[in-house]
Amino acid sequence: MNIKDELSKISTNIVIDEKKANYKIVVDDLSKLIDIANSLKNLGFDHVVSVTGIDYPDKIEVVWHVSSYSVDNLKGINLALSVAVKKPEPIKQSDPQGNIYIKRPPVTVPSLVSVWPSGIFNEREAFEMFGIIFEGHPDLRYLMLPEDFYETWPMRKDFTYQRAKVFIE
Amino acid sequence: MNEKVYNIDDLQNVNVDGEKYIILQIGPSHPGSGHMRIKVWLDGDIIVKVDPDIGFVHRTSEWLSERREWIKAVPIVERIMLPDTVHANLAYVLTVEKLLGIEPPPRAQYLRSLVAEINRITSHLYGIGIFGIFLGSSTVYMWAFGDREPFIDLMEMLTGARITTSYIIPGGVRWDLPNGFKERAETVLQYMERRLKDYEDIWVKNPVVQARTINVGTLKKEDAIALGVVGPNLRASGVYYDTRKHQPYAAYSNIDFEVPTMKNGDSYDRLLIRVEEIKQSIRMIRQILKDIPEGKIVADQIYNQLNPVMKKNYEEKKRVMFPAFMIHMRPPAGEAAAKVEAGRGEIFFYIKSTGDKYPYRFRWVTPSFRNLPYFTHVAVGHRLADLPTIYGSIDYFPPEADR
Amino acid sequence: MGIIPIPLIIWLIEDLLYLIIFPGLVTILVIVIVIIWLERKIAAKVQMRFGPLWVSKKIGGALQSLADLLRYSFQEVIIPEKADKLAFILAPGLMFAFATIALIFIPVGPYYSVLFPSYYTILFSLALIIITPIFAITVGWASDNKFSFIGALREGFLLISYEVPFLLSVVSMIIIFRTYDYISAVQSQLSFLPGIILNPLAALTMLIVMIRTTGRFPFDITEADSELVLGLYTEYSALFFGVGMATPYVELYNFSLIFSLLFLGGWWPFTLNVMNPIYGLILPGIIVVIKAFIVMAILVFLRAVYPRYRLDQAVRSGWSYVLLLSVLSVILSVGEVVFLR
Repeated sequence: MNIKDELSKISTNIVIDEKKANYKIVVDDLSKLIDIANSLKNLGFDHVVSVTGIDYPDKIEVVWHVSSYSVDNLKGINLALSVAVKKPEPIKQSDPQGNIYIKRPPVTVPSLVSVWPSGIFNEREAFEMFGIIFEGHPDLRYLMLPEDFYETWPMRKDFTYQRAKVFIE
Repeated sequence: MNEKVYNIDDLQNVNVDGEKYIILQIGPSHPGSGHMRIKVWLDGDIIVKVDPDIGFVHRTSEWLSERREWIKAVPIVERIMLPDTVHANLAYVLTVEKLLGIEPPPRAQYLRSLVAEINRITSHLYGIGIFGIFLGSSTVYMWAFGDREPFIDLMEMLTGARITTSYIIPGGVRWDLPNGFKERAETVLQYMERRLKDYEDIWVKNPVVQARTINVGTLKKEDAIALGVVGPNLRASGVYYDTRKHQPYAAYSNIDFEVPTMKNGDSYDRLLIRVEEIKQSIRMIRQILKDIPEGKIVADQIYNQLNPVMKKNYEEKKRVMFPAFMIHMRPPAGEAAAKVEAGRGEIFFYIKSTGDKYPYRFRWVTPSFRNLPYFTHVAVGHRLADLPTIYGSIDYFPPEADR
Repeated sequence: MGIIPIPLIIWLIEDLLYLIIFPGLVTILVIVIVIIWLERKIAAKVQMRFGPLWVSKKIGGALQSLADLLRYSFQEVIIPEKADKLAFILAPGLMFAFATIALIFIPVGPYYSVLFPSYYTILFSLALIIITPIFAITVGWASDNKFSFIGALREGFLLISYEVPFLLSVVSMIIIFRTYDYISAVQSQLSFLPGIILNPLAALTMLIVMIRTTGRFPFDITEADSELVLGLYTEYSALFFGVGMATPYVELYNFSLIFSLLFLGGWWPFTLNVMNPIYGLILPGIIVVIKAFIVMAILVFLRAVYPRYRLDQAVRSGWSYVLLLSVLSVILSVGEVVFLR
């Protein structure tokens, strides 16, 4: 089984870097994501290693790294399944005290937990860190962050932590 | 934005009503929880639902590493995985090397494997010890932590530090094999082989241990694949997968070793497989010390950049201090992913570079984080007393999962 | 009035001395302190450690338990707001009290019965020993803590499943000796054979029950720290905690005394039957206490070997193997009585 041919059957937009053992499928159309994931699963990629959010100035990229435990010649491959979503404009808000907050709305991406259940905690982490709402995730809650990080999406590049104005001893 | 999509901490709404069951908050300060909270719904003595609440020791390693020079991430990742420092270090350096496109010399590759295997033994002993105290056997706890010490001393002899070694740098390793290391290592390995028999007598073959662990926390092969668990736990469920075999790094393609697998996937198998892996690691260390080739310990690209004093030190003492010029390291734009089989499982690194002095995206996933489904899927249906058994048998380490 | 006969005064003083010093409180304190120290030292030896060595380094840290007791005495007592305060305060004390009172009915020498002449000492002591776990359950209930509550439930389960074998094993010895009194039981052993040879099944049952009742490993289930923090005593602090922790050792002492009286021939080889305090109480008493101490040392050694069982496994073995063993021991006793004598 030639992995390149199999992958090119699934999607046309493939980046392959043999030297670094990188295989990457870039999905342009969000609606195709689940279909492509399903066909990858049928090919033998059976678990998610990592779900990575990447914040760019204008978009947010979500990368699922998948690999295989069951098919021998896929065990050495880290396949990345990448999808990019445009970021909505940030909204300026002010509270009664006159402080101005910049609220950055989350983006929405279909969840692949229905295809790969192993991504469940990874997707929760990407959600709280980047504000990526995975539609169809069964249990999308905050995983690690405490409440004061609510909707701040700290791993985005424009995140600034609020300095306390008054310290109470 | 739809408000109903998520809630911060509203667990009561999740398909189990709070009236009928005892909700037990195990942790975050509890002798059986580590730095995490395990929320358990109990029906009598039977676990109905488990919600692992992690993040109490979340140290923002990704955030920190994205705002520092490349080489400064080495100590950060080490401090996250304290029992597995060498593997975290190695995994990060492998990823950076893929970006830089440099290849360490063979002797450095062997030294990397050597220190990684020593570290694997200490990690497994750590796991066995914690498992022991979770089942109530303080003897195994003390023994395992005591027997971890000779190996840590070996690591100190080789790298100069006991735990956080920072031994592996892009392009090689920092210290060469010291004089008398082979003899010392052989003594330690023979001691460990003798001790393994003691462990079998008092722990592995102990009837109470067998009663507590056999058929407890069973994860079948298909489920283990679907849930994506890693490391010895995966192999205990019968999946033949080891990053050292399937994506060889360091010197593992030249070393002859077996990947032990078990059949049942219960807690007892997860205990046995760690003992087996210690045996394999002992075998590997012997092989490495026998086969290790002569040569440089850093790649030429690094060696040529050393200043005259460091070159003199390198020739005389066979060691490289942490080269200061590495602070200016700017890997070319691109992305790289690497995997390393650590003691507890597979570490995955995915780093995106824009050619800047900081990594643009620094992503890593640790084995304990990927073993979280053991709580949510495996513990359900067991008794409360089985929760520590499962927790201990998967060798879960909360700081590692939180990163 | 005004004149109290001198012999009565001496008798009272003697009584007080016995209660306070030799088989009584001071001895219990010393034994508990020494056995805790010994337990830690044995475990340390097995585990390649030194054990307690900070306090009184010259005698191997033997005073460590005493130092702990002092520390407990001066710590702040914290009573949880939602606790049932009366029960919370009284239960550990009552538990300790009943465990100690049971000692009154366990004679350590033939002269001892002069203090409390009774033909039913075995029954009295059993009754008092069986009361103590009820206070353990009270402790768990009064704390208003889920871990304590689960610990109390576990204590209740184990209590019920191991009480029957315990009583049956004692009953089988009563059948053999045909008496309800420890002293005559010991005397019949002195004239014939020790109980452990007469009925080894009962001795085995008794040992298992002792391990279970006093919470030694592998039956350290009610205080399983990896699940229940400290089980019953999660909410306790200061002296209450110390008393709660010491009670299992007092119980262990009780059980070991009973074991050495019923199975190890009591004060054998000291067979002189003289009714005075020295030969009738102190010397045989020392022998009995030494025997009990050896039994205790063997039982605390188990900590170094075994992890703990699960609740359901312990309850199941209580109702199956141990109960079967105790029934067989009764049958054995009946058989011996019918065919041998």
